[in-house]
Amino acid sequence: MASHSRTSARGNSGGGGARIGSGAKIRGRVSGSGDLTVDGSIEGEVSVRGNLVVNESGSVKGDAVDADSITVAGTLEADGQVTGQLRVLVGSRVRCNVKGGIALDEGAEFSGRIDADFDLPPELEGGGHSGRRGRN
Amino acid sequence: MANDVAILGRSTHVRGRVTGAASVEIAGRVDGEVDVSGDVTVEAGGLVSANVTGRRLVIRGAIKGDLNGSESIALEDGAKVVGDVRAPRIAIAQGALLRGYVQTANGGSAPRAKATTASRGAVPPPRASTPKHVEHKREVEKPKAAAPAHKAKAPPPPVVPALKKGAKGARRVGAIAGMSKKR
Amino acid sequence: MASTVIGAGITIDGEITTDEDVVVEGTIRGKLTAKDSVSIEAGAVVEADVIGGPLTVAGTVTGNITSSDRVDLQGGAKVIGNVKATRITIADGAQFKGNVDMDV
Repeated sequence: MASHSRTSARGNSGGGGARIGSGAKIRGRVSGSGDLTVDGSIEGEVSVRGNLVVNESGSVKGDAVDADSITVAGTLEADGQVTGQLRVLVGSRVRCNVKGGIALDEGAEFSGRIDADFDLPPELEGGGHSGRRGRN
Repeated sequence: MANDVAILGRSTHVRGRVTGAASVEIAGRVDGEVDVSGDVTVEAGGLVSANVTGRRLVIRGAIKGDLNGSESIALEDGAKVVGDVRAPRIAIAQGALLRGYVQTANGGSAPRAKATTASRGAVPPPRASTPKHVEHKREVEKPKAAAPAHKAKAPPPPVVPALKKGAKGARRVGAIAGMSKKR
Repeated sequence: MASTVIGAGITIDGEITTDEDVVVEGTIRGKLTAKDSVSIEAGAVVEADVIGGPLTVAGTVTGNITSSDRVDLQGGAKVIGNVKATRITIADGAQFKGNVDMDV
């Protein structure tokens, strides 16, 4: 298929991190440490030790996405797991399964499973079925 | 005459269904389904152990069940939900905790008048106490159920009592048939 | 204002227990157990046994009423069931069918 490119995002200097410009398209895996801002598009896996920001014009589509925090104003579609604190802003379109916390603005389009780790109050635990739901 | 709202105070515990054409505020505990055409607020400390259906849902308490909002759902800071969350508009605050499937249905508010006569025909006659309400709800729910993305998922909540009713009826018929055979 | 209100449009099929005072304007089928005062307003339909503190009935109750205090059946009230209370008043215009047990 398409040639795989690698982008390393290194957050060292003042501005720090990497930016995928609005005209840029990346197919492949993007990894590194530092913040990553996406105005263009990425198809593939994203794994950064830092904050991932997908702006209005940006889109990330593909497999797993892993970052310390993920803020989406554009498009995020992931077939794999999304790991990190996800913030979905109004006007964005997000389809993914999230391991961890999510903040969703009213007006954003979202579909997917959220899997936060917490316990229900004891009154609601136990009983008929366990806290984790059987059906998909 | 009356407030069209039910307030279930902190020490109030309901074991059973809460239904109707009004809004509900829950600060206590409900072990049973909540299905109203008005708004539902579950306050901090409020507990619901089954599905919650309403127009606008505001959750600050804990729910073990699916949430269905015909207009919107807001999970506020402190909310704990294990269950699926579906509404045209959904807001989840930082600090709200959730395990379940989340689906915003954009455009779900647009073609709501398209309740099919076929589906309404399949429904058993509504109970005397809430006839208008049941039918209206079905219409609101319809576009969502018709969306192909939902096909595999559970049917909209109003169908559940219908199924139960049917099952009960079938059983009753069976029992009668059995009795007549013995004689 | 009461801390638990079952509004006019609401139906509860099941059991309600509470330490608070309760105002019922809607429909209850099942059982209502309160520690404090219970007011069953005109228009309310209660097909349930009702247990509470001071109890006022202006609506319809089908079921037994038990109060640790007094029971007032107001004009317009319709009660089918037994009433057990320390004191009971039945106003002109109240309908009542059942036994009274004044627990002195």
